[in-house]
Amino acid sequence: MNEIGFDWSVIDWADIWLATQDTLTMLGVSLGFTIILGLPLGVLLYLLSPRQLMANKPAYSLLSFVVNALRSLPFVILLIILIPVTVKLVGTSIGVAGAIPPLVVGAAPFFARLVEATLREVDRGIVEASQAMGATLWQIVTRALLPEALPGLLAATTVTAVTLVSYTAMSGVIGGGGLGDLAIRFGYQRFQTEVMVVTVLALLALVQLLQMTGDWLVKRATRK
Amino acid sequence: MIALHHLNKTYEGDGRQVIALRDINLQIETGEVFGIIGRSGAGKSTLLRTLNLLERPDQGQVLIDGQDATCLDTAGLRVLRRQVGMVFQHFNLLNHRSVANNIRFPLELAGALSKTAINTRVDELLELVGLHAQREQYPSQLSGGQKQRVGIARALANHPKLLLCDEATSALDPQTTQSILQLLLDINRRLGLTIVLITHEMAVVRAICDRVAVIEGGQIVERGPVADVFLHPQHEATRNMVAEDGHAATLDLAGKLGNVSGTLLRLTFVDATTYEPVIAQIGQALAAPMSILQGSVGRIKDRPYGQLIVGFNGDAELAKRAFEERGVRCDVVTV
Repeated sequence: MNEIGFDWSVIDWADIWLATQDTLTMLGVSLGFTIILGLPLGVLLYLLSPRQLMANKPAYSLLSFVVNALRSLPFVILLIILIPVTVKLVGTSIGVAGAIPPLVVGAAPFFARLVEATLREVDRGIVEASQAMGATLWQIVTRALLPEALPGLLAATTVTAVTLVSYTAMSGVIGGGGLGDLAIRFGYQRFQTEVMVVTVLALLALVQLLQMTGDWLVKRATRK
Repeated sequence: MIALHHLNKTYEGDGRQVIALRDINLQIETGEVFGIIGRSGAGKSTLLRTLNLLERPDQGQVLIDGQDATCLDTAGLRVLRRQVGMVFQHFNLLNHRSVANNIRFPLELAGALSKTAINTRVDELLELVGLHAQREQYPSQLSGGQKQRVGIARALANHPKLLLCDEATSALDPQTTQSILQLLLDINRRLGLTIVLITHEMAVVRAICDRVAVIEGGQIVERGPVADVFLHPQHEATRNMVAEDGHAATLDLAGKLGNVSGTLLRLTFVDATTYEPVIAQIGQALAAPMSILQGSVGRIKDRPYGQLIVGFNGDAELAKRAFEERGVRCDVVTV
């Protein structure tokens, strides 16, 4: 160890690489499922809300309550209380696989709310014009609403991805692995500040990369 | 032909009821340009939307070629809507689609045509509205007038028999308004398409409508051929709108005519009589000269008209008869 304080030789780069892979896997898979579940949920919230195409106050209130309830649970708690469900779904409650169901359950309601808000931004006139042209509900959603909202949906996906990165850091609680877990176990609990520095830098780079990619996609998709 | 029978519509919001339509009865003939004029909140927008059931009336029938549209199920309604084009004040184009793809949209929705047939149709429509050069541009790159041309092309894509125009020119400048109105008139004549438009501007009605209905407080208060309604408005709402338009000899001269002696006559000429020297001839014949106090001449669609208010010293009854023999309507005006 030199006098400035950092001894980079304590870092096991293979571990770092493994952790990075775990983080990327958790992020990729859970983001995929979050979109698959959250997008329809968001569309449904939008359609059921007052003055929209399927306006239904009781159904909207119920769905809205469920979404709020899931969002109000801290992620760490969600990780633990979902263990029985996780075991049913993926056969294990630990490791990368065990982390994915709680990640999705944590992020999908969040993403759904963002989708709902984004769809609300679409000019009502476009929905009306589509109706006047004889579009079915499915056509309105898939050919008018979602494509019109694409820039906003991409921005929502970016925000969700970044949120998922910070959620993955907590998956260490159930042995989920990943960069955040590494930072806590080695960097914090074993006082290996070097590991902390490297993992934080890696997370920083990942978030920057996600945000830049997201911004670039939004810009490309924007026609306004 | 469209017939509306006893349409009623009430909105409920915040615990109070707003009556949007009150026993509307209306007949619109095939091939005509029918205007519905009214102030904002008069119910004209609701009325227009009952024609393609975007607004469902609480009571009443919407007969389109004898078929009651209010009885259609969802699928039937979609078929109907594909035969009824609609043009909007704020265009309502899809921002993520190019001009050509916006026009293609209703054809894709209908799903009845092959890809090549759709392309051919899109080219025809681009030609019709004069937007060939802009086909690959996006709505954000277009001017208001160009956007409305896309809106019109899109509305015509499925060969509708009826075109609904919701304040189609209200967001446009006067010059662009004229070009869009001319386009609509051209389409009406070339395709024999029935057009129903709503507006708050008498100028729009005067430019292209054959008949007009005036709506006020959810009720139709006056209706008839545009020349009749425009030149001889009966209801106060109509009179106000005609006066605001500034193109008719409406008498707001009370108090300003203190030193005019004799009777005031309102003379209305339409069509051929507009061009004849009627005033001079009758003035001479009755040996009583007339002084023109106010007036306007112009065109209602393509009918020339003139409306004058003249001061006349002589036998008003005699003059009235003389004018009416020559096909000029003559009313004695009381200030």
